[in-house]
Amino acid sequence: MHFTNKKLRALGYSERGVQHLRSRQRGASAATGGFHYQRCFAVLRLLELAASHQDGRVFLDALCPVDDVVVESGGHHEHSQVKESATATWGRNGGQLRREFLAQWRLMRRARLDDYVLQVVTPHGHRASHFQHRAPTALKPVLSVRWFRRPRSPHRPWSVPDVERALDRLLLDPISGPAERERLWTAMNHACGTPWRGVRACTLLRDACRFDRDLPARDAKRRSGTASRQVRKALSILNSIPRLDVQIVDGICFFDFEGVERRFIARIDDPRFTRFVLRIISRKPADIRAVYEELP
Amino acid sequence: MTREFSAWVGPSDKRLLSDLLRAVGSPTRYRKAMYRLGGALGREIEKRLPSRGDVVLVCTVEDADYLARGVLEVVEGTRRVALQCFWNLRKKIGGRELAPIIGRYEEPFAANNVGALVVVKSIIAGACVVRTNLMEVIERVGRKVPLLVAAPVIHEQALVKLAAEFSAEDVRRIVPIWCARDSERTDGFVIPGIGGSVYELLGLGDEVSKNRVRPRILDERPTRLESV
Repeated sequence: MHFTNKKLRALGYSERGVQHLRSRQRGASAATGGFHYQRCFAVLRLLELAASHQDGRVFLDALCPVDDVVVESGGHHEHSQVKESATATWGRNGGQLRREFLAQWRLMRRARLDDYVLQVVTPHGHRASHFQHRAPTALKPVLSVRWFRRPRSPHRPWSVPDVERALDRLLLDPISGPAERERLWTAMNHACGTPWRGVRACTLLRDACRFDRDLPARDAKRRSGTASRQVRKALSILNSIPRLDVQIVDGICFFDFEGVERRFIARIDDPRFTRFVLRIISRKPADIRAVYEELP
Repeated sequence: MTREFSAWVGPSDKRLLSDLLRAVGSPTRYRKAMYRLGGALGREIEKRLPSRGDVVLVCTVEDADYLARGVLEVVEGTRRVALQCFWNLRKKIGGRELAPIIGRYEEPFAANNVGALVVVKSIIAGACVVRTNLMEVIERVGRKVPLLVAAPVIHEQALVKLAAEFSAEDVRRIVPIWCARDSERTDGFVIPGIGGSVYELLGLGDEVSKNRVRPRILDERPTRLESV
């Protein structure tokens, strides 16, 4: 849950308690260590929501005890603490992590929230096991531990298996590979802003397309759309060329030639697609080379 | 401005590089010179290939008919080659340089038979395109094979930039092959490099126009649908 000063006071937090959380939040925003990993996890959660067609918002460094990444989706709340250190435990630093999680658990109870998860996120498999098995008993019913690996190269967060899976669900398969994963990740990460703004999963793709209009990302809303007469005519001209297969899938127009050559043409909401359609109708290309000359 | 040559580059190879610079302004001569440089690079690539295994040859659309053709004709004399040609479009998003692939021609290959990956490029300066295309095929090959990165000219920082983008394990497999290494870069162009913007020098227009070109070599590839 996205807690505000007012909500926290209403739930029994003292002014001093709120100030403590506020100063922790400011400290986290100023810190750089671990931030890259935390942000990667936040972007991943947004991608996962978008890929499963769920709406939701993701916040970084929220105003609450378990504050690193907070996800609100429908009536479900997920509070995650990111522990990047290979030596982090429940009891380290005088049991700080345990205290934070128990404080969050009490806060959720006071707020009468039932549908929630408190999560520890770690890049280390052995830490995941510790957090799972040594958790305070009261937390066990609401605790989740996620083993989110660090990328092998810091420049390639899209190559982490969890991220890859989420990106692949959003990308149009026949014309996508690692380069498109990088591109979609970069555009989506950029759309989340610096500093982070609580972007909504349902608008993330649209926001990302503002930075890259050629993103081959699937648009579920376009799935049931009917092509206009002009689009159908252009597709008929193109598909009469031997071995050429032009398709529109989930709002993206692309072609396949002989099963070895694939090309993104345009997103169908892009004005360049309309111009392409009109050029095809007027020039009626008869072979693949002529089609290339008309591409946006 | 300093230019350094690889140890394997002889007087005839140096002449090819000079021919390239002299051909600036004449796309026909420039194309021929680039094709011949491809042949020279191809001979050196062949020497560095492992003794067995097929070759996956990766190039960009602008290089396909000239530099890559020269390399291909040499390497294909002794090996089975699966050509991969990519249409890249350079973009800058949030301060990061990207070279997304908007089109791809990918001859099938059997990953188990691949002995080496060879990426050829007319010039490697920022290494952005090479990085993208290499990343694309590394995943498809899946096995730990040598990664030969070849270009007539590279900038002195290019390989450092390339290495920063890959894991230490992948970097160890990279075998750089270049004729000349230049130290100066002005307004994005390596000096003297290959004489300027390769798309324009080859007569393919600007970055958008070159992506509306379909290389002739793609029509000439035999048995495209058969896996090598």
